[in-house]
Amino acid sequence: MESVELSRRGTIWTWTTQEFLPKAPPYAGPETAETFEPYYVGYVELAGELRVESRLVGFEDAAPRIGQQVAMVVVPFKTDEDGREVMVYAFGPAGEADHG
Amino acid sequence: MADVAIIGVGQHPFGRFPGKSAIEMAAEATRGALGDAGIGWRDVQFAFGGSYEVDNPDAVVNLLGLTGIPFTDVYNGCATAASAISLAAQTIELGAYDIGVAIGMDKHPVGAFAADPVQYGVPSWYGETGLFLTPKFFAMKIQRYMHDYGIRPQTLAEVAAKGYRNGARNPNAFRRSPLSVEQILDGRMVNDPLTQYMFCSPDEGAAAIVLCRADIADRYTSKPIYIRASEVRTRRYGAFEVHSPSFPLERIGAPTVDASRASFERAGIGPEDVDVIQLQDTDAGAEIIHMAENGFCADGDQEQLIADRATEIDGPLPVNTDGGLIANGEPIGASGLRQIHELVLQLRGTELNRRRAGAALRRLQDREVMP
Repeated sequence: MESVELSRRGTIWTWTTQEFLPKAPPYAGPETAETFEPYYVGYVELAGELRVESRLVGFEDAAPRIGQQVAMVVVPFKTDEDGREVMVYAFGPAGEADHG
Repeated sequence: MADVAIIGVGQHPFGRFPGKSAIEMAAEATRGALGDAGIGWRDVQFAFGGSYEVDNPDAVVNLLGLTGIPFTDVYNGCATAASAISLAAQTIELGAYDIGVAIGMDKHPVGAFAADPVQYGVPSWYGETGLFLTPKFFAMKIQRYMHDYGIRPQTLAEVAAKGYRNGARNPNAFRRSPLSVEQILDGRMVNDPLTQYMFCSPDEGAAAIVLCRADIADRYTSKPIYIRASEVRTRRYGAFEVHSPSFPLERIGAPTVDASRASFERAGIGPEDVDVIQLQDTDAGAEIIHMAENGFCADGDQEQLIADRATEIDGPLPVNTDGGLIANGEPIGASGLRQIHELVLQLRGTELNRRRAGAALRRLQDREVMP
């Protein structure tokens, strides 16, 4: 087994919305039924590598599109019981200045 | 090897039955199947029982009679009932016994299934971060399929509307009220493009069949239904299937494609020879995709076929004539036996308000719950 560094940029291969609060466990997110907001999920195609599943963030204004360019970001997920911020990877719209 | 015939079918209705156990429903379904075959529980030489929620389906013998027969429990995701039937048929083919039953039962809590991702061979973070969910996989598979082959959301709704229409004619169905295409499209969005009315629900129910050596079937029935092939496959590397944190760029066919090809080959027939079809419609998109994966049409032809009402009960390619999972829900252990129950009724021509037909295809499906 060896680690392989993957590209941080890719294109959306498919996507959907998650519009109900996942059951906990296994879900460990901080939301309650009252605070839950739907989120986007998709598979991102990394050219020449593979397709990875990920949350999609930054699509508040327009839904993701298949083929759209995206870049990896690290975003806060929740605060754990020791008060530490837990971060997760996600993909968001690739900006002009982002050459990750 | 001995050929195998189905000589009796029975079903407990699917739906919600507070206060009634899965075992009680299974006993009723089994008595129905035994009565249909004209035999008693004492005549049964072996049994296979399937369930997700009940860890001892064999306990149904407490209600049917303690006759000491070998009774093997199986769990195999959404292929549980299909596996029970396959194993029962193989037991007869091998010459071990002449007559046996396959029984399926379940009683699920309300809502989507939840489990520990580690038990499914995927990392725990996949569940913790809200990715270990089956409905969103189905949505992402049909989203890509619609993009590639020009299927419209309207067509998803047409498939679901057919399910509810057929369910309304089926006294055993869970959902028995027809819904319009508009109502289905306007339903609460669960996972884009799938609304609440495009998904099946976990529910409760049981079904059973009696199988025997084909050469003795005419002792029990004038209309034996023969099992020509039953194949189960799992995914190969490169298939886009549920619970995959990643998958390779080079995509290969779904396990459904492998299983249906093997099944047609063994049966010595092709998709064009099939008169009535049951497909796993966990969601409306799955029915559309499975039409092509099982060889009943080319990818993308579904749009026109469904517009032409080809998959209706009276169409040339009738699919899920009892309402499928959309109208019946999915008690996992019983669902595949419900499909066989319906096919047997259709092939016997005993369903007066449904369609007569001449040849059947066993359910060919991939699995939703286990990879």
